[in-house]
Amino acid sequence: MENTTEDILLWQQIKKGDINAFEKLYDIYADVLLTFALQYTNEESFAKDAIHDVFLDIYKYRTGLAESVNVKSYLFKITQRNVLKKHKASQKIFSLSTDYDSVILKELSFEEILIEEENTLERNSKLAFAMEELTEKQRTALFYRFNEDKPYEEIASILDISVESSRTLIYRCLKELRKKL
Amino acid sequence: MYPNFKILPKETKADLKAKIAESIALEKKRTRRKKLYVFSSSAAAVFCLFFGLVTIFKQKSQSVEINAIEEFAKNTANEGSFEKSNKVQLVLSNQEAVTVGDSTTIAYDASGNKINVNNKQIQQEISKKSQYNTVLVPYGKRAQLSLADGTQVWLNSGSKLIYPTSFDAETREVFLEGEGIFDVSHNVTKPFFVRAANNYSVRVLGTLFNVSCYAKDAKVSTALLRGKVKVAYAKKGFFKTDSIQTILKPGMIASLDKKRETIKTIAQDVEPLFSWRKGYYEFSEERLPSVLEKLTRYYNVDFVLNKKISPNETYSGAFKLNDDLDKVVETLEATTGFEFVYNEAAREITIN
Repeated sequence: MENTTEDILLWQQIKKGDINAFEKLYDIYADVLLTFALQYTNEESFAKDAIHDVFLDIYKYRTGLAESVNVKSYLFKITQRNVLKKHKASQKIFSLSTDYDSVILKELSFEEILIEEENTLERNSKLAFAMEELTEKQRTALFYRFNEDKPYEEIASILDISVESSRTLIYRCLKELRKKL
Repeated sequence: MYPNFKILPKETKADLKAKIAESIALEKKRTRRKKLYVFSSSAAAVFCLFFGLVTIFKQKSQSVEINAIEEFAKNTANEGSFEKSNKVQLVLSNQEAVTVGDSTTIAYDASGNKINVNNKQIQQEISKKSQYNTVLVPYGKRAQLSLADGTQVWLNSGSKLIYPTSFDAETREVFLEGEGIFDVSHNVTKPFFVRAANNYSVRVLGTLFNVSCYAKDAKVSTALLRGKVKVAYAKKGFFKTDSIQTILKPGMIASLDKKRETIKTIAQDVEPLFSWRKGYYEFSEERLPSVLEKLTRYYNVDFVLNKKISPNETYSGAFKLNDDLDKVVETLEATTGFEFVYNEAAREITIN
């Protein structure tokens, strides 16, 4: 993930306290960050809260922000940290809930956790960007197929296409995604 | 494990943006409040610090101001009250009280160790450090002193004078309660201070003046006959500089109103105020109560007024202070036209 010239410009303006630049940064990255955050939790509100906190913190500490950062990785990193934190906090309270089993990190050493986090960050951020490039139709198909575990027939009826078409649609999407990761 | 392909509704982004904007607005308010809080608390801290410093400074300066003689006067305030005895008392540095006769003269030699009381020698313990002696004059008595530096002091009835046996310090300081006339021997290098209760002081170089500072009186007055004196009164204010001063010229009286904390100077004939030194009480255009008040002190007798006295009536004249009280009463009866009943046992005179 490289900084675009726009990223650098926006970052500098935010540091100076430009609220418009701040807004622009949000407009550019909110979608991809939401997609990214959803990789860690099924809970929509956690994802939203995490991103809310990311931007609020940027505003709060704008004057103390580092001069040269990779804006994208910074955003992803903080989002990841926030969402995991919220996840952990919720686990303490709702320990009986098993909804998040898929994202709970197994008991690992601190170092392993760091590496793990680093890896997932890399993968998930790339994934989020890739997913942002999919059409809504494509993403819907993928969502029903993989997240909702719906059969192709049902997907076909939801998207109002033939079963065959839904198969090819999903297949192509996966191919596309794999290429990008 | 599959990635999450969930699609959030379109409004999510806008909603979240609105929420962030809201939080930012709240944050702005909070920082403003925080700033105000920080500002006000630091202002309060600075104020407390300043106040503390001033208080400490004030205490320090006060402790410096209270000098040795005032300290001594405070500590011995309850010892040897002159009202208990009807004889003039001289309290030596070893707290030994010597009773001396009427119309006393007490004279110190230059060293301050030899005291001549009515031509009788008293040897005081010799010590390197100057020590304080006290003379207590009861009501109805007077005393004359000659201090180690040659200063003459006449003490009126009901007075107390504390003074060092020898003036070794940079300044000559005595502490007076009551009334006294000072004929200060001239010494430019060692200014003479008459200190009185209520932070009142008179600074002199070489003069003749009268200080009256009876505790019961509402006023402390200083009358100057000769030379120059500076009258100072340290207000019980917040700062050390809260003191009022006046320089007196001969023929002037400075009177301090204890309650109002003001010093007023008036020019008038001051000669009568010095008359008691020579053994008579002279007064001019005084109202009867004030004359009786003086006589109360001089003769150690109480006057009970059962008669309404016109405030416009004033009296002028003189009493010889060595006269019998009977004679004084006779004179008063003749001039006022009132009936004076003298009860000798109670030392009380009733005016009908």
